[in-house]
Amino acid sequence: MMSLPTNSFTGKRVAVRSVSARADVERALTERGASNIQWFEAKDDDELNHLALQGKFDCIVYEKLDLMLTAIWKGDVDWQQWKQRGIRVEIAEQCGPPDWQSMIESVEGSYRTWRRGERRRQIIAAILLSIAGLIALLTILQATPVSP
Amino acid sequence: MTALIMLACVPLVMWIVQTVALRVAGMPIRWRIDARNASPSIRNAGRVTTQLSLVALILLVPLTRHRSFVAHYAALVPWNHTARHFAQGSAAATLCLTVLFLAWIASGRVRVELHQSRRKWTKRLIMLIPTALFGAFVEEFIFRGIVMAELQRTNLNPTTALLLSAFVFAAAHYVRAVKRRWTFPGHFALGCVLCMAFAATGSLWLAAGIHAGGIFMIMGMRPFLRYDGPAWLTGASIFPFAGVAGLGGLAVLASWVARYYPS
Repeated sequence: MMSLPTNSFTGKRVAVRSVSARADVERALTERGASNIQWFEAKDDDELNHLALQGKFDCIVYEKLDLMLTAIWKGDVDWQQWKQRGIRVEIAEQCGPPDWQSMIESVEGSYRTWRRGERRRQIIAAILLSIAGLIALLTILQATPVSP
Repeated sequence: MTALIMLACVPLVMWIVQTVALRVAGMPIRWRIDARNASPSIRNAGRVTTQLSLVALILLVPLTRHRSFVAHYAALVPWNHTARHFAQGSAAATLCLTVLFLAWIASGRVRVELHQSRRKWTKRLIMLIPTALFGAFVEEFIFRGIVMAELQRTNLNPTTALLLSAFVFAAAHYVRAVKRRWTFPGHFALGCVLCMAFAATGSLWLAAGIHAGGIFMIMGMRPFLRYDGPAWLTGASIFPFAGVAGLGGLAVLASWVARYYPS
């Protein structure tokens, strides 16, 4: 169940960063009069930031708080700039006003998940690059003339 | 010199086709070759024109020297012991870029992060080897096989011919309007290494190998890496050789060519 704090999106240019509940978010937005909606995926976080800073949207809706936090960890949300430009941000899946403890738990959990994913990606990249490098090194060494 | 004049005509052909395409689409003429903010059909017309012009150049140049196509290019890529230079060049470029990428990942200058759709990166990876081979051989046939070979036939001293060829190679990458111009020294340095490889071996195998290895690594890693910079150190996007570390890598490659392939 989506609980958007804003009652009306009529005439607003809305960017939505969604992951799994796109249909629910779309329904919630449409019920509140949104018609000009642009959808973004994880790979588009930097583009969303770029377009937001160009003033292309009146409101940015994240399906979950974690999606926005992950974009911040990635460096794809210039939050200070967003604040300065008055870009409105809403979280669709919000059960109620957060207390400090649950907020910290959300932030810590999001950061831990993101770091774990990043470490896994780094390890895979390092393994593949090391294999490529070692094959290349072997090729070069085999071609190097041996001194008498 | 006929071949060089023909090469100089390529940007003119590109501009004429762009102008016609823009007029057909009812858009104003652009004085630069610049497809930005144009429709996909105009961009595709530009791409196809560039590729066809370069292929036509490769096909026509042997005729200007009264030689057959096969005889002309067989002399540049002879099927003998020098063919193994291709593997050696590819390996050297791969090793060089591998070290740079590993160092940047370890130091957090580059993030490992998928930033293209699955369809796009899968297609790019499937086409990676053909793209690397096609790009490397077309550019080597043109910039070393035609430009440098032509300049070597003039009275220029070898170093001047090498530097001039490298300059033409670098400048050709900026004929179209591009996002970044600060990468020019990187292209020039890369051109110098490739020209050195051609001058040292007398064939295109080593230069094509270095070139193909570079394209393979850069395009292969492109969907998965994002540069956090600073750009002066790491380069950016498809130009990791344009940063200070990349220029250092090219210097290492140049010394490797000079050490193991003395002309």
